[in-house]
Amino acid sequence: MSMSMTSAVPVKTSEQGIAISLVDVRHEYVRTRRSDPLEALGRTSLDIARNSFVSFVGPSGCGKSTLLRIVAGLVTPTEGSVLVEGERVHGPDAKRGMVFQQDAVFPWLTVRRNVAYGPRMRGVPRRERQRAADEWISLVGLDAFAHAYPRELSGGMRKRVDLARSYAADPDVLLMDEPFGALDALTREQMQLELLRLWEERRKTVLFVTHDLEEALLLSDAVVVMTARPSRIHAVEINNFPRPRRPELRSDPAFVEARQRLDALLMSGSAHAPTSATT
Amino acid sequence: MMTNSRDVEPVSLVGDEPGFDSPSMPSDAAPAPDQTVGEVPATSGPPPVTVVDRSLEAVTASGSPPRARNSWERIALGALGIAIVVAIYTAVATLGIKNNAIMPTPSRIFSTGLHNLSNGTIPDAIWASLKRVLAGYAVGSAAGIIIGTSMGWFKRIEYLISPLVEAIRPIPGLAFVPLVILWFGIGETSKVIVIAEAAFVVSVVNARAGMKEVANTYVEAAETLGASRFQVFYSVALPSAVPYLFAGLRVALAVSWATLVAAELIAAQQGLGYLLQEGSQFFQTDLVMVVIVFIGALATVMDQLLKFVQRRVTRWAEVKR
Repeated sequence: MSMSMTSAVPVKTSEQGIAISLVDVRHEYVRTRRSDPLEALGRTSLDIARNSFVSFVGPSGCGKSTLLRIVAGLVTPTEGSVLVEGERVHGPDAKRGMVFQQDAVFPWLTVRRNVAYGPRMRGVPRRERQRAADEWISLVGLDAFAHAYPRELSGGMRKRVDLARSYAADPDVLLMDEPFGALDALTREQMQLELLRLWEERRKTVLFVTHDLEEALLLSDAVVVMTARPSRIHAVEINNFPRPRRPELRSDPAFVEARQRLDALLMSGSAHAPTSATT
Repeated sequence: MMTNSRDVEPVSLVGDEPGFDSPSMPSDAAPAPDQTVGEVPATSGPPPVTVVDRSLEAVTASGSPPRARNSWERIALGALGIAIVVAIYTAVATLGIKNNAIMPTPSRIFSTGLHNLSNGTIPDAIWASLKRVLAGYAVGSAAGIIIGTSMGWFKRIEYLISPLVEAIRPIPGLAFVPLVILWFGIGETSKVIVIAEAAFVVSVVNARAGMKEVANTYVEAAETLGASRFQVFYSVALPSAVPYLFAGLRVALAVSWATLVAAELIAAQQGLGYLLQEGSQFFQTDLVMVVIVFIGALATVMDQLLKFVQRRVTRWAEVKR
């Protein structure tokens, strides 16, 4: 059912097409003038099919987040380029939405105005953007809170607002950087199912960074395992569990097996960490 | 649509990357799950946890809700503090340790206050001063907020204006009085300018600080939602800086009053500061006291008004205390 890739796979073209292409992307952070730059992401090339859900896992401090921020346009890579829907990425853009680990819902706007923010910036007329916002608010089950301010909501509810807001801006791809990392275990589980349902209803290309292997397996079509710094792609686990997926999938033997395999991959990837200069 | 019969891998690795790790095959030596969870031994002592329903006791024990008690306590203690100071003053004044002309009794101060209120002296002075304060404060803080927020957000504006602001910041507003009098005479304009300068310096610094404190996550979230740099400025940075802007407005108000009184002490034919000056020259200490009380009361009322507006505008923010 699932396999780990052992060699580079040529780009397959199909009606699904390629949404994101990383072309020889490499990134290093310049820390101080004296110390050597820190290589966060080793040279990486990767194609991601349209409307697939792809997770990135790896030891903390590896360049997963950097990779995501490069695709978002928030970080300009030291080398290489990123193509999204055939267009080269230059700076952040509504076409590449992002959900952060931190609470990024604007506290000075009501839920409805938060969700309508993207369309508002695009100049969508008031009525139209409110209708769109209400639809997304309803999809994440927050109808009763449309006029509430974020501080009146729980952390999980704010995350729903965040998801709805990203979706309402109608990006080509959605980038999620450990979106549920700051939530408690129970809320996190609820949000995973929420996102699963949302995504299965409204397909989009999603790149999802997480530490949680179960989360990665439950949600995604493929899990990319990265090595420790300087981060490279260690393995790709294709994940073909049928959809729609149910939470019970977690106890499926094949799922448990895939999880153990990922665990082992993650371990071997971390062990390959070079013990050179970096702390 | 929902099924997953794909003919393409969602991810493909491109090229034969030299840096690409040869992925190790999944190890079949995956650690077996630990099955050696011991059985819980039956102990003779009490269970470690016992659920007890004490809801009734809890309700009866706590008395009035803590919030209400708190605010009463606050008002009562605040009044007590004032009462203690007034009592000490009254004792000292009535004992006659100092001449009553220098240290008038509270009742004398009170009657002087009533007298000057009814004959129009105080109302006229208040009106004259209030006009100056409001004009100077409005001009100064409006300019301060506009320039400060721009400085905090747009680097080039910061580079352009920052040295100027840093240069005038340490100079007390009153140091400009002689120059302003030479240039603009001793009329109303001079006083308004001096007050405006003082209010400007305070609010420009606060506004700039507020814009620099804008959380990066909000900015990045807005950018990935399609906001331009200018849109981020007015739709994210400005609203999130509002608490800072109000902090600046409140300090600027206090500074405006301080500057007003000082400016009027130097050159004025009317106003509260002028009255203060007159009172001290003619040994009317009771009048001096009355004016001080009125200045304090006016400044407090205006500050409370501002606080009220602030609370309405920043209702979204976390309630402090």
